[in-house]
Amino acid sequence: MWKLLADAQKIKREYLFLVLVVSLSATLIGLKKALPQIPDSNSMDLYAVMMTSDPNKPVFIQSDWTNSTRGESRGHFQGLVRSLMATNRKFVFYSVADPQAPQVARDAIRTINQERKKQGLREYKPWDDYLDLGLFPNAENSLNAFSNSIKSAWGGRRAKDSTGRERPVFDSPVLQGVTKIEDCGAYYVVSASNSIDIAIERLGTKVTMGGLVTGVMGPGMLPYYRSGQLKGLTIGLVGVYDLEYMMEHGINTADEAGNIVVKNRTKPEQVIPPVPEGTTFGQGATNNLALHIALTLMILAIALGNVGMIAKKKLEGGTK
Amino acid sequence: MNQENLTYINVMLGSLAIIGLYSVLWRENLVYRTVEHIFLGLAAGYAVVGLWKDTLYIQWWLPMTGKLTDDGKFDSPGFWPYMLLFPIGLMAYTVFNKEKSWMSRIPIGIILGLWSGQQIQIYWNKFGPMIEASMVPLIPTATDSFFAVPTTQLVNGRIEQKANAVQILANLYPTEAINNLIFLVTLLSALAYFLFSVDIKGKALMGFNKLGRWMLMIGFGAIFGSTVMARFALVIDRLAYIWQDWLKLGV
Amino acid sequence: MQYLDSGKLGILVTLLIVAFILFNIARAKNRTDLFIRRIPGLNALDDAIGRATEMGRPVLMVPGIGGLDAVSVQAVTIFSNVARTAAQFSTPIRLCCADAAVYTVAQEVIRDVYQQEGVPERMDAQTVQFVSDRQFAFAAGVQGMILREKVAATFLLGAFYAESLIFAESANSIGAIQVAGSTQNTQTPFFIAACDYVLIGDEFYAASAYITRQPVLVGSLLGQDWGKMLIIGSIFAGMLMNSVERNQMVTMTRQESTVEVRGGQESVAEMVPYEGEPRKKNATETTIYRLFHPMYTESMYQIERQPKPEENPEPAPAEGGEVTL
Repeated sequence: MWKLLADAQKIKREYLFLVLVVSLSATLIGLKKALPQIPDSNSMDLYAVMMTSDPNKPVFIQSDWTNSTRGESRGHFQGLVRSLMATNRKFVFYSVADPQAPQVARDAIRTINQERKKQGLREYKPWDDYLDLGLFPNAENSLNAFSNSIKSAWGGRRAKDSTGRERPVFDSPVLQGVTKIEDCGAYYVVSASNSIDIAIERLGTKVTMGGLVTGVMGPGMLPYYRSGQLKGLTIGLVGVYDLEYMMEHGINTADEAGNIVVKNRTKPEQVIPPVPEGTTFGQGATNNLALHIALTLMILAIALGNVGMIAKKKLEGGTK
Repeated sequence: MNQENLTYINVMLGSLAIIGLYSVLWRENLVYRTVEHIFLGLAAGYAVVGLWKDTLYIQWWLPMTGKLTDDGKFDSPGFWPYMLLFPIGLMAYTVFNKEKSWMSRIPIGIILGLWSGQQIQIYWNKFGPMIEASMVPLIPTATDSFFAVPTTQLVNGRIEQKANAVQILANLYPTEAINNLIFLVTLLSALAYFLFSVDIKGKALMGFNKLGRWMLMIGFGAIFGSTVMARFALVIDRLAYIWQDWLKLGV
Repeated sequence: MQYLDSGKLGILVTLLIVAFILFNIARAKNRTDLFIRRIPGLNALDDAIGRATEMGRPVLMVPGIGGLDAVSVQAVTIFSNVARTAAQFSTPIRLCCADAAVYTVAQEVIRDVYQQEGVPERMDAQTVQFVSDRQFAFAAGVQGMILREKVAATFLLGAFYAESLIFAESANSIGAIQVAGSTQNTQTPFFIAACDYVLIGDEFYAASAYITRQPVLVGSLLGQDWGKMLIIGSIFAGMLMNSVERNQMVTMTRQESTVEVRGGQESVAEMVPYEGEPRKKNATETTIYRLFHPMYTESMYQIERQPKPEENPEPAPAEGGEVTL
């Protein structure tokens, strides 16, 4: 018995990888089950900010993710954009981190627009409904410039209007009434790197800021959330599902059967409705079950490895 | 070739590259090496284009040369002093010449100087709110309940504010005070762990230092878990890309 | 109480910390015996090079993938020390960079080291190399190098992100001895899991100061220490004040409002008598809160001059009433 357990430590890692890939693939292909979710309070706060920001003011999105963290950040970005589109909020997006970032954001928006077209909903048009400002290299200096004056920092940027003519971005209907960074309805950072720290340092005191970060960044961002520098925060793939779940069910809102699916116990007075139209469940819902299976396998592997180690020690102790 | 076929080829090449890169999990092999080099080459090419298109052209060339509107009219004036930045930037390349390599330190000095100045400027924006949030009270102000009391209640199926909600909100309940105590001890012991000019002697100091180390390790454990979750999310996305985006299985 | 509302607390603390650092740098220039606690395991640096020399395989150093900043410069400083020992024992080194500016600095520094040791010919094109500035391309490149060249020791010091475990795992799989340290707390756990010795957080800065004993590094470290003590002290004091004040009954409460100042909205506050049911002070009614959230903004202190009223077209009546002839 001990011998068998001790041998568990000798399992080749190739086999562990194989088990992981096979079970994840099987889940992605064949198992479709929506799991119930209790969103984190930080995710609830982010959703509340998203749904309560001034609808007449544009939202600024600092989109600093690339294909490297597509598994988490694309879900965040799509959830955010879907809810902005569903509630008719105009938005501006740009990156201060990576030349790839604006392109992946454009692709994600295009997918959502195609999806809305299929559902018979209004497509969001560049220039009229949203603005793509591209990349601002060097996060530190760019965000410093935004903090001082977005009129001069964005003044040189041009975008094509609905007739195809290149015009300064401040002529766009999206930026009407905007003269400084404080004029945005909310400021979201979708990030997988320290570009979010840089944004908090430079703009944190001026705007209502929400963070949508990867699981790696999450624990490091919690102090900012605790101190109120971030008004809301979603973390990793679980955060993506949190967001989608609240887009579907709202917070402290009763569904048709009269059940309150998502309860915010720390802020019972806060009633936030679900999004009124469009897709709610996306990447988070698709990959959530696979994530749970992967984590279960991981816990099993850790347990097996540790039991194996104890068994090995016991056997070695016995031979002495 | 229509858009659909192009997308298919795009996704297929992406999927093959994913399989190629993951093949290193089995062992280092020719396929992995090939894909690795393609990746490096692509990245280098992309960086060069990105550097010109997104950085130099937009941030430097356009403001320097000014701009005319599409119909040839005067739009924004050129700011010619930006030309002076060019030789400063070029100095970085003197690193390849042994005698002139000292010049490469000038642009680097400028960059470091700007960076340091900004760090001083933003110090308080970053840490001020955190310091304030750390000054937590430890003595509970209400003892009528051990746990925090909700400010709302359900009346006939509707959520309603309690009459004394303002009083409840102002109170600090014992559980909250205990929470604050745990927070404060963790914070101070972890912070004290990073004092390097104090010699750690005596039982109390060594104990506090050890506590700090333990707290850090617990924190690292949490970070580890969260990061592993993130890594799994990335693997799952790659597999979803192969199975769902490319092979259209389970869509 | 008006000092509370000056909004200058941040500037004061920042200036104090800058002053601590400058003062300690000056102190370190005059005194070489300033105390820095030895970080256990710094010996691992020398052990690792020794092992690489025995095996005749290269030592790999990576200063992280961050840009040129204090972190990468300190990493390169530590590496220059490692390179010096390596040059003495003719152990080949590989220093891989992901940032052009860091590459430039590293090349300069390592070349200096080899020249000072009198073996400039041992530095070749592979000694310091630029791999890629794309994160995962860099990771793939360095991973390939670790596996191909079977490096005997790795030093991963600097700002690492998602690629950290790729390096540490690859080097671990070929049995390299590893010393790592990242200023990114998110990556430290992975280094702890996969490396032989890890510098946690600020230990990284302490290590470079300890090894080089450069006055600037030592002084900065001590200055930062003083800064940390200041923060520990003020958190403790703030905790005491808040604990006492939150137990007091409220008499005045804070009322927030926004006013128009020079065409923009600014939020201000005033303390007004509290008239509701008796209660304890809440978090926004304490002195500490007011210190961090001044009731008035800075621009409200500036006196806004009203435009001069136009000259009254009607002449003012002369003193003394009408003049009668």
